[in-house]
Formats: sequence, C-alpha cells, structure tokens
Amino acid sequence: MSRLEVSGLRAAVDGFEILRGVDLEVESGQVHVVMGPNGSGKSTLSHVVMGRGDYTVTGGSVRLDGEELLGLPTWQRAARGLFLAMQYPVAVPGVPAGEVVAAAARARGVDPAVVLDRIGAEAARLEVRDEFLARGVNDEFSGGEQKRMETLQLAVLEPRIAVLDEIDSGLDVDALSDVARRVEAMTEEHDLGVLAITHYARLLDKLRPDRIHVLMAGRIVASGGPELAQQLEATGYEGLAADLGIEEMSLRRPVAVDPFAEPGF
Amino acid sequence: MAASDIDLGSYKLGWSDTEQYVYKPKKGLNETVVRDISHYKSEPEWMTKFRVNALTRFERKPMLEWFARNMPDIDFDDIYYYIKPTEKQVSDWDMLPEEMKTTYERLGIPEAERKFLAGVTAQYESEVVYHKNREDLEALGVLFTDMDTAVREHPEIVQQHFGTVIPPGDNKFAALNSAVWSGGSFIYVPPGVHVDMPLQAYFRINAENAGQFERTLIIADEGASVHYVEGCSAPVYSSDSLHSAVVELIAKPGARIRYTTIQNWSPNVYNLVTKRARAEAEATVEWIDGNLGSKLTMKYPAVVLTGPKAHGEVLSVAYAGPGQHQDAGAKMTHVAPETTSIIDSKSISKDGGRTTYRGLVRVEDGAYGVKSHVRCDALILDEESRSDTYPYMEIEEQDARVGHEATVSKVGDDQLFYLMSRGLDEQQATAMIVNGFIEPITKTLPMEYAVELSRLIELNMEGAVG
Amino acid sequence: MTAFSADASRTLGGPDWLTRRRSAAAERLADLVWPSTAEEIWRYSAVDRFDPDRYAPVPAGELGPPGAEAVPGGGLLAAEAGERSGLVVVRNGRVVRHELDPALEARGVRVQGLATDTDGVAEPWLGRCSDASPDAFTVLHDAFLAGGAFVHVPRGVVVSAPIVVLHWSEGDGRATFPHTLVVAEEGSEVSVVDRYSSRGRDHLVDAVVELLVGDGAHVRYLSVQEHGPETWQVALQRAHLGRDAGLRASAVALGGDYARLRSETRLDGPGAESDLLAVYFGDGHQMHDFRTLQDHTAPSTRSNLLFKGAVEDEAHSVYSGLVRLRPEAQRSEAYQTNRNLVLTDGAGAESIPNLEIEANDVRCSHASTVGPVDDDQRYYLATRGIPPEEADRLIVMGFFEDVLNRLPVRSLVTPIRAAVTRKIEQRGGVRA
Repeated sequence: MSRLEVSGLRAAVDGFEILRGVDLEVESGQVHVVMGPNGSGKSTLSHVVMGRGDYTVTGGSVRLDGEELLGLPTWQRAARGLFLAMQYPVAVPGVPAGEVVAAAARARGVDPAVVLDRIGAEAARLEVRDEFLARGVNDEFSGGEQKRMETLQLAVLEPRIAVLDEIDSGLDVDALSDVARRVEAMTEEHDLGVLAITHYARLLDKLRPDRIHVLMAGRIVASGGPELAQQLEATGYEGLAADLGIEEMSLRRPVAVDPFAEPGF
Repeated sequence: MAASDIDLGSYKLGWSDTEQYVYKPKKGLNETVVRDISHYKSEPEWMTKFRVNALTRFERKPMLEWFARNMPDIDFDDIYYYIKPTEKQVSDWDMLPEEMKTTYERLGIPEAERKFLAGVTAQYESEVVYHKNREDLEALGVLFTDMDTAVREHPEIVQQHFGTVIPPGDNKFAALNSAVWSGGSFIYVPPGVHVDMPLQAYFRINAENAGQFERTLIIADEGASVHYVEGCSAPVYSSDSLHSAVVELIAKPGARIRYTTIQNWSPNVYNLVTKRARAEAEATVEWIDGNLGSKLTMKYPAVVLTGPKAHGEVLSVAYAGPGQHQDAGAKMTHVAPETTSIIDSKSISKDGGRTTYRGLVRVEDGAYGVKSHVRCDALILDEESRSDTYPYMEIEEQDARVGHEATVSKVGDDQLFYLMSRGLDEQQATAMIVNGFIEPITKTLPMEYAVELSRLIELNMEGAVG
Repeated sequence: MTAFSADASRTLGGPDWLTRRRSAAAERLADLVWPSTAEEIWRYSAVDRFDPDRYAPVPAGELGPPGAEAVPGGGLLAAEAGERSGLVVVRNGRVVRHELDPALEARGVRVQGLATDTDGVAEPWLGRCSDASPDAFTVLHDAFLAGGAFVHVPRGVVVSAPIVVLHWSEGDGRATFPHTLVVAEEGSEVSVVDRYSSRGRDHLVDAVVELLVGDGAHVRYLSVQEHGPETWQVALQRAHLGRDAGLRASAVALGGDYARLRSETRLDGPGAESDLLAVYFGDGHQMHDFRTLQDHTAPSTRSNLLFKGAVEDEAHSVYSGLVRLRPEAQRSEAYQTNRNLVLTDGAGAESIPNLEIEANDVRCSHASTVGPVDDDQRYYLATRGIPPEEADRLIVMGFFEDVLNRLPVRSLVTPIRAAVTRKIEQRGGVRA
C-alpha cells in the first residue's frame, strides 16, 4: 500500500505564485482526478510534484509513503515509484523507448532484461507499432502515438503512483479508450494509484475516478465523488466558481507593456 | 554629366537641384580639410583632436580584403568631403530655398511630419537644413537636435558618449566618418519617457561626387523608449558618391530603441555604414533595415548585449537589381548572461543583382543562458542574379543555444501558376509573392513605412521587367 | 624547415613517375609560406601554433624499401576490420601489406601501394583531386609522399565487401604523409574504409584522400580517425563526381590534438549525388576542425551534408562549410546541416555554414545549431527515473545516432558506436 500526500503545496515561477496551497492524497488502487480551467495551475501541480527545476517551491510538502520528496531530484522521485506521463512528451531523437526503460530499470537496480521482455506484450496491448519502438522516443510521433508510448512506459516500469498530465489531450476516441483501459487495469492488477489531471470531463467516463478535485487559481476549491463531475458538466467552471463565490479562476502572470505596440508604431 | 541626361531607370528619386551652395571646398581629403570642417563648425578643441586623430587611423588602416574586393574602383580623392548647402538651419519648410523645398515635398517629408511624426531632421549634403521637434517632447526633456548643435549645446552628454560604442579605430570607414563627420541626429530620452511617435531623419545627397558622413547618437535613458526612422535618396549620376555614416545607440537599463532605415540611395552611391548599439540590462534594441538602393551597401547593424537579459533584433529586407550589390547583415555580441537575439533577413535579387548576408553571433565565455536565432531567406528571381550567405557563429559559452537556418529559392512555378490562374499577370503575381516573402519584416513597420517599402520593391521590379 | 628538404625528399625511392612528382613538389619547398589564421579558410584554426621545425619526415631507412612486407597478416587492426574484399596496411605512409580477393584481382581490380606501381597505372589519376585545391600542406605532402594506397576498380565491376586501408603512424617529432587514391571507373561500385591511428609525441599526419567517381559509378567511403593525443592532423579529402555518379562519404573524428579535415566534393556531371556525413567528439584540449565544400558545377546535381559534433572539457570544434551552386548548376539541390553539442563549460564550437548561389532554379538550405544538452530531454528521462549522467549519455548517443546509422560500412558501425560511447564515459576521467 502506497500513499502520495500533497499538503499545503505552494510554488512560484519567476516570483509569481501559481500554486497557492494544494492538499491531496492518493492511495494505491485509487483514481483521483484534478480538473480545472486553463491557467488554474494544473500542469504546474504535476511538474512540482515531479520536481521540475523551473518552479520554486515556496511552501508545503509532497510525501510518498511518509518520505518527503521535495528536495529530491526528479529521477530519485521516479526511482521511488512516482511516474509522470507528460502532456507534451519530449522527443529524444535517437533514443528509442526500449533504451529509456532499460536505463530506468538499471537505475532502480532491476535487470533491464525484465522490462525489455515486457515491451513486446505491452506494445501489442496498446497497439504501438514496431516502427515507433525503433525510432527515438516521441520523435515525430503524433499526439496519439506519444500518449500510447507514455502509457507503454508506465505499464512497463510499474510505478506505485502515476501522475497523468492531460493524458487525454490529442487523442482520438479509440486511443483514449486504449490508454484508459490500460491505466484502469493497472489500478486493479498492480494497485497503481493515479492522479489524473485534465481539463475535460470525457476522461472521467473512461477512468471512473474515486475522487474529483477542482483546481482554481492555484487552490483545490472543491472535492467530491463522481457527482461533482455531473455538477461541473451542468454548470461549467464559471457556474461552479459562481456557486462557490470565487472571483478568480485563473492566474495570469503580469506581462510587460510593449511601448511599440500602439498603431502609431 | 547632368542628372537629367541620364536614364533614371526604375529609380524615381533621381532628380537633382541646381547647386547654390554656401561652401564647397575642393575634392580630396587631408588634415587641412578636416581642420577646416572643425573650424567652420566652431567646434571645441576635443572634437578637433578627435577628428585629426581619426584621420590618422583612416590613413593607416588597410582596406579589408573583402571590402576591397567589393569596391575595386572607389577613389577617395574624387570626393567632396564637406558641402554646406545653406547659411543656417530652419524650422519652417517655407524658409528653405525654393528648389530644395520642392525636393523635400516631392519626397513627401513635410506631409509625413504633419501626419505621424514627433520630430523631423532633414539633411542636405553635409548639413541639417531643416529641423523641428514637437514642443511637448521638449517639455519632457527629450533632446532631439542635429549632431553639430548637440556638440555645442549639450557638450557634457555628447562628450561622455560620442565614439564610445564605435571608436574611430573600429574600421576604416568608421575612422573616415570620425574625421569628416557632419550632420546626423542626436537624441536623448530621459529616464522613463516614452516618445509616442517616431522621430525621423531624411538624408539627401544632391551634388555629384559628394560624400555624406552623418553621425547619429541616440541615448535612451533607463526605462525610456524611442523609435527613430531614417530615409535617404540621391540623384542619379554617372560617377559615384559615398555615404558613410556612423550610428551609435545606447539603451540604458530597461530602455528600448527601435531604429528603422529605408535606404533608397540612387544606384551610384557607395553606402558603407557602421551601426552599433549597446544594450544594457533588460534593454531592447531593434534594427529594422530596408536596403533597396545604392550601388553597393555594406552594413551590418550590431547590438552588443552588455547587460543581463538584454535583447537585440535585426530584421532586414534587401533588394538588389541590375548592378547592385547589397552586402548586409547583422552582428550580435552576447557579453552578459541571459541575453537573447533574433536576426531575420530576407533578400531578393533580380536582373543580375547580388545580395549577401554576412553575420556574426558571438557568445562570450560567461554569458550563460544566451539564446539566439538567425534566419536568412533569399529569393533569386532570374539566372543572372546571385545570393551569398556567410553566417558566423562563435560560441565560447557552454550554456548557449544558438541556431541558424537559411533557404535559397526561386519564385515557385506552382505559386505563379496559381496566382495567374486567378487572373494576375506574371509581374503582378511575382510582386505578390515577393510581398508575401518580406511580410514577416514589413508587418513590424509602422503602416506608412510598410506601404512605402512594398511600393519601392514593386517599383524596382517593374522597372526591370522587360 | 630544414628537415623537409629536397634532399630528404629524394631518398624516398619508388618508380620514376612518382619520384618525378615528388621532386617537382620538393622544388617548391624552399618558397613555401605557411598559412595563418588571417586567411579565411584557416580562421579559428590552430595553424598559428604550427611549427614545422618540430617535425621531420621519417627517414627512408626507417620506412624500408617500397614493397617490403612488414606486417604479415596485417596485425591487430586488420583483425578488427571485419569482412572485407581487400586490405592495405600503411605504416608511416608506406604500404607494408596489401591483399585482395583473387576473384576481384582476376576482374582487373587493383589494390596496392603507389610506390610499387611500376606500371604507372596510378600516374594519370594521382593528384587529379588534390592538385585542384592545393595549399602549403598538400605541397609538403606531395614532396614526401612515400607511398599510400591505390584502389582502382575497372568499368562495370562491383566490389561488394569493403576494401580496408589501415594507416598507422608513429614516431616522436615525425611527420607522415598517408595517401589514399580511389578510382572508380564508369558504372563500378566500391566501398573503402580508411582507418587512421597514430602515436608518438609531436606527431604530424599530413594526409590526402582522392576519390574519383566516374560516370554512373558509386563509391561509399568511410574514414575513421583515432589519432593519439599529441598528433596533429592536416588532411584533405576531395572527390570529383561524374555524370550520375554517387558518393556517400563519412568521417568519424575522435582523436588528435588538432585534427583538421578539409572535405571537398565537386559534382561535375549532371545527375551526380553526394551525401556527406561526419561525427566528431572532442575532449581534453582537442580541436577538431572541418572545412567543407559542396561545389556544384553541373545541372541537376544534388548534395546533402550532415555534420554532428560534441565537445567537452576544454575542447573546441570548428565547422566551416560552403555550398557553391555555380551558374551552370540549374535544377540542383544542396543541403547542409551542422549540429553541435557543447557538454561542459570551457568547451566551445564555431559554426559557419556558407552559401554562394549563382543559379536561381535551385533548392538550397542550411541550418546549424550550437547548444548544450536539452534540459527538457533531461527532465523527460528523469521522470522515468534515469539519473542525469545516464540521461546525458543516452541523449548524446541519440544525437549521433542518425549519422551512425547511415555510416556506409555496416560492419564498422558497432565498433564506432562503442568508441564514441567510450569518449562519453571517460567524462571527468583521466585524460591526456
């Protein structure tokens, strides 16, 4: 049994605070979904949990089974059982997925042969064609191929908790259901805990979450069961914000004024 | 030969006025000429010394090999280095000699001033003959004068900055300009002041074999901004004229300077200009450079990024028609960390014209976090024309991301066919494609200049199409 | 430059035609002016540090007479060369062993030393390329050309397995002059590998490679340079391509103190195509210096260039290339790409991809980049649990992979990949 605990998490970019105190708990086998409008801080949450260098943590904690992750480099968080499936997976030309998972296995002290053995079966299950296994990971992949490849790595590496950042974006209906089915199977067969971040409700039908959280302006403003999704469906983010008496849904960083932007120039 | 005897070709600004000059010494260059210029201008001692010192450097400096190759027939002794056209500067167009006034009207300067400019300087041969600044700018402390007046009236600020960005020994033509400079603009914008409309200078050479050596210094103090526009033209003569300016820009922390040039010299002018800016912390300098005229232009606007997070840009369009060589480019020197730069160059060559992009991006050791991107696209419109690209990248810092890309192409047959199937003739279709090609640059210009630039290119192309 | 005298040149022996060629060059030695970085083609180079007095040619006595079999069996490197149809071992510029599949020999293929070519078969070909693009170092080379490898494939003959040339040079303060001359006659096909190694303090390798690709002929060429840490290499590789000829030429540069390769390709015949690749990796105080020319002199020709390099420690690299499309080269295409990874603070790279385009109906582009390992890629691999050093190794190997994958001689891809990996893994380790 594993548990990811995010409490009072605050983070900033270039001095501008984007997360303003986030609390969440995800346990093995559970599926939590964080929803929110654009600019609410969703992607920031996933990257701060994972330890991306561009963000400065200004408060709170992120614990995995009681161990504080803040301060650990990203790769060590991953080695302890955290996985981030990215919204925009980065292309690494010349480095195929097999090499990535083999290197990841070695770093965990696992025999790379074990994970490499699993790739074939996972590729078949997720309908990833051989040419995508041969090519550098994500290099000139379509959005759908990228997400299938993220899911393949997730399945092969068997983390304890997976953060799925907009895993549904750029996917057609078939790909979405392949990916969601695979994630769901992992929650059942391997007790994977899932923190899925999304803008749209359509992922909810596929993933059947235990809990739904709504993020606005860097804070969780509502949490609940599937009924919260139905409410959102009916009212939209603006309606929900109005119901909750929230004025600011999104955070916009101040932009410098361009003196030559006027038509006179 | 009088200008009127010559086929103007496609060049529409090639008329000349009758010479009725106040002062026009002999051709050629020596210390006496230099001292005379300084004396005539009643300059302070330091400037006279500056000039004489620069002359020595000019004489000592060899012509760079690739400069010499580009202009085998330049004769420094066959040039008038200083011509004073009128007795004094005026601030009312009606006070100019009639013919001169007509010339400026034909060039559209007074009209532009009325419509969308905050100040205008008009230089004719060696001197600024007309100057006017919007009064409210003066109240804000904005100084905009010709350079000679600035030396007299703002000596501290001029002496502190003059020649600091481009020292006289920088290159042979900077040395020449430093020795014989006359006219040009001086601008100082106080901290935090945004000049909300462009300031413009227009440079006209009239006499045959004339040299024009204006000198411009623009200082935008902390957080200030200013946009300066220069245009130029000259009569068509069978012998060559020389234009060799020096332009120094200083953008103090957080300041922003945009410098736009629409160069339309007649096809007998050698245009050899040194332009360089210093961008201090978080300052931005943009050079927007349209090169259409001249026989040979060699000009590489530069930004030295001395303060963290400074940004430099050079956006340029060059058109080379028959007998023309546009050897233009850009230089970015990243001295400070997290500085960024963009160079975007578009060139078009036609009827035997030659365009050259020559550029340098240099990242000094210690300038971490630098990003620079260079893009050059060349369009060659027929088989007589040519295009060269010489981009240098010198990267002494590990943590710098520098990229360069370039393409050379012709007008696509598919594109032409498509447009002609829509009822355009070949010339119109080509012009439309060319306009689309330079659009990334023209869209950054104020509308009036964008229209002017497109119109000039179309005129050039028309004149040339059979 | 007393050691490089006309007298020393005269002692080298060999057939008359070769001796004559040497002495013609030797006559020019006295007036030879060494280049400086003031010349554009030497800008950024280390040539200002070049001191000819530090080197002397290998005396004839040490070289042994032309044709003497000095390495029966070909030695250690030959064993590594893998499947081949011919082998030439060149020691200090002199061929000390050569062998060829007898079936090919029967079809008229020649694989031998220049200094034992008593029939003068090579004479009309030698210098065709290098004489078209001389500099002080090619003159010196011509004056001290002790032998070198000669590969001649007659009209229509296809040589399927590669011909391997091993150049081994050694000696403190010695200069050697390896030469490879490949002549592929009309419609023939051949693959040639030049593998250079050297050791010794202050060693100079002044090499020339000439690739003459006849009409409709196809040549695949690979040079791998693993010089010792105190070797200076100044090499010229030049190819001339006939009508519908094809060349895929690749260079791998890993060794040397200062190692320069001027790689020039002239596409003389309509329909000619060349594909030029390079991988270079410098560490310590190494400097790799490439000057390329894609010279299109005929219509409907096509050239493509992809050079990729990495530098770490205090190493520097220079890539300066020119695509020249002459007025006759209508309907041609030329592409040029140079990418550089700068792995550590203190290393640096210069990149100057030039174009001179004198024809309008052409397609031409170039791109170059210089930058560190991409942070986003590093982060992506970190989210999988891969530590930074391992991530960098993967990214750098991945960076080279598209070139390594296209190297023309498949059997050498694995050992070359291993050699590049060793370079990366040495990082932070002990170096010369």
